[in-house]
Amino acid sequence: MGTNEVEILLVEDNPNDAELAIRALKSHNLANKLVWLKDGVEALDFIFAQGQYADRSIEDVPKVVLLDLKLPRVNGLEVLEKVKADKRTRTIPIVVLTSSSEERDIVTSYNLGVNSYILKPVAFDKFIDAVQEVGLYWLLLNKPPHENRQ
Amino acid sequence: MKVKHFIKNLSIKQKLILISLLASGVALFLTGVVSTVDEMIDFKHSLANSLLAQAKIIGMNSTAALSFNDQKAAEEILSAFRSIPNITNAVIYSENGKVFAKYKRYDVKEDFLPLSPRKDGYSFGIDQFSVVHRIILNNKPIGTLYIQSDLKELYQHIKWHTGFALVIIVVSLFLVFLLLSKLQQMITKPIMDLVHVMNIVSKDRDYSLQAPIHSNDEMGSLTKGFNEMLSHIQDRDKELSQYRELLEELVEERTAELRTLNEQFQQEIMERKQVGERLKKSFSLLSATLESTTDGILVVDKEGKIASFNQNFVKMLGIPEYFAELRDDDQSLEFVLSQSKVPKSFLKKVRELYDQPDAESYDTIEFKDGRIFERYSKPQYIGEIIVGRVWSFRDVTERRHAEEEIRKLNEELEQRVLQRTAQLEAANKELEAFSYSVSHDLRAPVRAIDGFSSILLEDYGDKYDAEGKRLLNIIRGNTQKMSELIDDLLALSRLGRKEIEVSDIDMDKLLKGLFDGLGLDTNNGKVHFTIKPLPSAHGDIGMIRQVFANLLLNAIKFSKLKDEAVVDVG
Repeated sequence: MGTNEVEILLVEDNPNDAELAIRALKSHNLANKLVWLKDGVEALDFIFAQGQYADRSIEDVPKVVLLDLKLPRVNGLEVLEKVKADKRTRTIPIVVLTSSSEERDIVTSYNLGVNSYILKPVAFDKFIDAVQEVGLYWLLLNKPPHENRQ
Repeated sequence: MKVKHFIKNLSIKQKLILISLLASGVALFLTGVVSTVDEMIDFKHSLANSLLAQAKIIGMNSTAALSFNDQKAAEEILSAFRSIPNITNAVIYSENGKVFAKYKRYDVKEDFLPLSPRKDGYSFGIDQFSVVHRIILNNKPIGTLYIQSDLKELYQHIKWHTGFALVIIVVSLFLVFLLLSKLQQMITKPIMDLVHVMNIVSKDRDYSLQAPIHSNDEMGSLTKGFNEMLSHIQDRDKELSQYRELLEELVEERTAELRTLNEQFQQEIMERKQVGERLKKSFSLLSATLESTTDGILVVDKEGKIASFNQNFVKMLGIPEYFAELRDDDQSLEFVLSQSKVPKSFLKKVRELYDQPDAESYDTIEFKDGRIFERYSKPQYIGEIIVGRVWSFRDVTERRHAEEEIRKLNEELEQRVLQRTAQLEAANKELEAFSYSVSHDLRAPVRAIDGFSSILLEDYGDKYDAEGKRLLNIIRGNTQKMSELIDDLLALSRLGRKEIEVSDIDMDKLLKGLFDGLGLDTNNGKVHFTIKPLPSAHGDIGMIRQVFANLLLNAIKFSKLKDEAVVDVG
């Protein structure tokens, strides 16, 4: 689905978690321009406007990427790496939203330039709160570098 | 000898008298003899002369007879000798040598026929004497006349003379005796006085006496000397008695000292005896100890000679007893060397230690027959001085082998342990990973159940009645439990993975953190928490926090049943 403007790119393979997250964002009207992708390949294709998303514009960057680490095909860390490695895309704020509290993952993520690392709360209500907070923060409080495009 | 003895033991007086008498006697005797002899000679001469004179007369009277060869007349003339009793024989020889006439006294038996000499003379015999006269006429000898007379007169004379002399001698001697008896006092009195004093002094030991001095001669000197000597002796005696007293005092002191010393001595002897006994005991203890140890012990003195050893030493090193008896260290060493695997270094070590008497050494000897001995060597001290060296040997062959075995077994064990540990670690890791992934993966569905049932309640709650809501709440409640269980499981897995880090823990801070983290304040609903200050602790913060978290959660959980619950923390 090609869009002109994307605000939130949600990369999550678990449909339940995705639904809950979207629901959470919706309740604060943050999900208007949300794109949900289910694996790493799609995420990369989308961000780099290649493959099935070749008709996108690469400059059409999301305001934040909510990235799960455990993805099929290409995992979250690789996506992170690739996105942060490319000049064109490395300014995109990426928030890792994952159930993994592995020190290894955290360190690697930060080394790769992740903007934030959030652990998915187990409790549902806390999960909702966390997603809402993240959304509010990155969409409303945080100033992206490409603001003049809006 | 008896006489000599007798004379020697006469008193001085008697000796003096005897000497005087003897001297006088001898003098008198000699005088007597000489006078007698003199008298005798004179008498003989006078006899001879008188007889010669007679012979001359007779001769003259006989000339006529001779000239006329008148033998008868001659014999008549000769017979006149009858009136002279002492004439025993007379004979006239004619010139031709024939007897002319002779006369014989009536008692004479033998004829007197001497040879005819040529001159006048006389000769004396023992009991007679004779004269010869040449009858001369007109200056011509015509015959010879012999007259022989006995010597009765002579002998009588001698007898009388001798007798007289004897009498004189006796009387003289008697007078001498008398004189001497008186005069001897001059000599003997001083002597006797001296002797007397001496006797008294000798008997009574009275040295204060002095002998009287009678004269200024040798006796006087002797007496003076004796008196001086006595006074010296008296002085000496005084000195002596003073010294004696002193000496006696000294002797008493010394005796007392000696007594004390003796007592001390006796005591010392007793102590020495006791020490001796103790030494015996020690020695037997030492010997027994020496023999009771399983080590072989050898003691050598500073010259390297063997001073002592125990049976084990002999047995262990296989030394024949007589080698050790020879007390020559080197000899036994040679024998040992023949048994040892490393002769040079063995001997070298021993020589080294001879040069360093105070060194201690420990080493191992390997024998050709496979035995292994440990060898210790230490110097032997008496006080601070080194008097020898002690070697001790221990057969550690078995032990070494055992140790080797143990070491090998240990290595094997370690290997196995390492393997098992690796296995266990792997298993553990697997388990942890499993726990982690399980709990991790379980979370998502749990969250979904919890979430969607909540959404259901939220979005469609009005469509449910109370029962429906209750059922949904049951679902929600159970998902909560499951979530907790999964958390615990996750915590457990995390516990296993993380190593224990011990540090100081500020318990108050930890608890406050927990309270904040768990969303608790002291007045949480029905549960009333009272917090008192806790002392700081020492441990793994994570784990301690976990423990307290569990405790608090449990406290809350189980006090939900009560209306008012008070949980004391502190």
